[in-house]
Amino acid sequence: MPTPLRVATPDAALQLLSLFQREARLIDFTQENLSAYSDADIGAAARVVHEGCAKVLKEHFTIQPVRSEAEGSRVELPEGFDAAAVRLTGNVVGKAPFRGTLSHRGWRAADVRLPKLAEAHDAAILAPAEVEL
Amino acid sequence: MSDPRYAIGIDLGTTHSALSYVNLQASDGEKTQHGVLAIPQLTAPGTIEELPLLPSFLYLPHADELAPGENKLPWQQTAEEQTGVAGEMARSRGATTPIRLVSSAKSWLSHPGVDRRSALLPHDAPEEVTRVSPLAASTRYLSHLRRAWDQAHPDAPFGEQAVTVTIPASFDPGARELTAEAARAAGYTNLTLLEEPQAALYSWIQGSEGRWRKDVKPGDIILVVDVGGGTSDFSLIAVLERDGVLEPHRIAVGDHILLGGDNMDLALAHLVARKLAANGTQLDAWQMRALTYGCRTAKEKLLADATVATWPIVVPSRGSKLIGGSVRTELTREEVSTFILDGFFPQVEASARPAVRTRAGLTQLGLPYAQDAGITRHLAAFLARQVGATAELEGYAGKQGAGAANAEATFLHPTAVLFNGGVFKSDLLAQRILGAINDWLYLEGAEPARRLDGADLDLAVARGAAYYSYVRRGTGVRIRGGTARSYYVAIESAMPAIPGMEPPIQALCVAPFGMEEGSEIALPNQEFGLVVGEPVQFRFFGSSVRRQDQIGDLLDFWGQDELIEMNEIQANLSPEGRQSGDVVQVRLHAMATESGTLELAAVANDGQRWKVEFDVRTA
Repeated sequence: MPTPLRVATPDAALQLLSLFQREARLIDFTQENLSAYSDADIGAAARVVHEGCAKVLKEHFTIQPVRSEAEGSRVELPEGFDAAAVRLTGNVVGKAPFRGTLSHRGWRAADVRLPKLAEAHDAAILAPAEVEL
Repeated sequence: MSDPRYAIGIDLGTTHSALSYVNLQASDGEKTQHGVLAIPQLTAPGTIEELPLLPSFLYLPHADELAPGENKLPWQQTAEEQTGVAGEMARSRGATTPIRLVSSAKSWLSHPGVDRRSALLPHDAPEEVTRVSPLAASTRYLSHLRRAWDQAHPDAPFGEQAVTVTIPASFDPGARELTAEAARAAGYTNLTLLEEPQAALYSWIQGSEGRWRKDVKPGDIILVVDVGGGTSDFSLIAVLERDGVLEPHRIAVGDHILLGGDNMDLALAHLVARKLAANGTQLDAWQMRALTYGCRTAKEKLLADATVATWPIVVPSRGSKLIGGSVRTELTREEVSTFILDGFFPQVEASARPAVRTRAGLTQLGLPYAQDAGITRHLAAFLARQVGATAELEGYAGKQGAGAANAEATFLHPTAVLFNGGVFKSDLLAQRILGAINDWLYLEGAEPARRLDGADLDLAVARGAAYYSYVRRGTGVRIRGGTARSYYVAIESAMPAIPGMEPPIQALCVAPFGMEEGSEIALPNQEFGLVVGEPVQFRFFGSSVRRQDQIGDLLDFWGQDELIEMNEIQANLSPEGRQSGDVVQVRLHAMATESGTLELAAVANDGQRWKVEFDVRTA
């Protein structure tokens, strides 16, 4: 018997894309061919993307590090630690408690606040075409 | 009606509105349980987000502009509500289609030169756009907030809560009345109005959780400097001690100054746009808006960090070619210093006054923006005008300012300053103002004023308003003060006419300074014969400095700046039970209502009353 898998609904993903496009022009940015431009031009555009993405993340998610210790410090993982939240790497042998060096603090979305959508709203339109009259 | 469970405070701002609340049952004394309502609003077609602020913008879309159902809010909207979109989407849409955007409705609501009940916004809209009045636009924002509350609190309906709406301290009786009218039209029943600088101080008091008693002392004079998106507002609050209890008294308010943070960002954007234009890059309206946002960020960064010399600004391309199509420019520290510090916060003498340009022959039908951008000059003028504000105050007799017994003072000496408004997110600007004040104080031998810290610049007014709703119910400190102006009607002098000269007028005091809410006074010994069915207009004056005039006082002379003429007021004796054309002897009564408005009434000898309108409809 096959294990049932969850299918992610496309709406939330489309919505997030739409936010990244609206605030950060992410789709515009990634659809372009970088080879045609100088680093200065790319840098200027990257500011728009960086600022906008940061805004979307800040407004719609509460993102916190999984581990509060400084990276590079020694940490101890007791028995029964959450293997989904902490990934062991390198010399993975023996049994808990594990002692090691924190190489990345990890990120956890403590809260997600996506906009609500009207019943009839077509989320597939990530950005409407614009026609100036 | 059941007892309210919440005290609600609403900041109806020029550019943003917010709703804050205090849970009455969970609060005791100076410990309050409070919060800010997340306001559902459209941020894009068919997209609803809950944000702490509701941008005070109304967009009137074309019938074909939105797909069906894309302007739905989480609550049932009336047909009229569906004709416009309020909030964030209105603001962003309006940037590309400004002819359909209503903005600064609050400034229009206090604009005495227009009929504020007539549909005149957007002011430059083409014929086919159905315009709305400043009153109706304000009603929309207030009603949006009410609906948002009801949706979040189905068990505690808005109509049953105690509600305070804030207004600039400088609002005249007409603008106050119109704000109350907008609130009533939006379904507000338990309404009180509160001046914004007072709300900011309440918020500071609330935030200190009792420590404020240590931070201020009897004899203090607190200057509240509130520079919002569109207006600057000053108030002075003296701290008295009565029976061992500290009692703040609001002793003076400033004039209405249409000058705020948005003007600063826009000024910078135009500066940068000129630089770009010199290099052959023209920006359209959409790009100008992006540039204005960019300038705001750059301004805040450059003013916050002295080590940063320039801050880059990128105006994204309009089309999908982001790279190459975007315009990169920058703002330098020098430009920000010249434009913002020297332009809006110049270091001036205490004797500086704002420049008043004589208006051109034809006054345009637009907002009466401040003609001098120097906020410090407006402040200097305000403090000088109020030099005598404490003269008759208990415990302040004979001294100007708190400590310095200095009869030579040329301006009122504040001892503490509280800043409010998003502009002061740039701490340097607050320091600049404090520095200017302290220079003035130093030159007159007074102690420097200290800064009262800890205000939340965006939400203080809404929070303070909720706290005021709470303290009105009996607990906590209250700011006293009553009405901040005295009011007069013009009476023609009984003098022989001189050809070529206007007959001189006398000013009759019809409402004295500092009327406490809930009080009513009748004008003694002065009856007016009014004709039933014929409206009578009076020239109407207000004074923010003549504290000593009593009702019925007749002034022959007054200083040039002492009395400010306002819109004419009108008494219209509707012929209920009387014959049209009859002359009725009436006396004027002034009332400071519980909800914070001033009312004038014409009262006949038999007790029949007619309201005197502050807001006369212009034909």
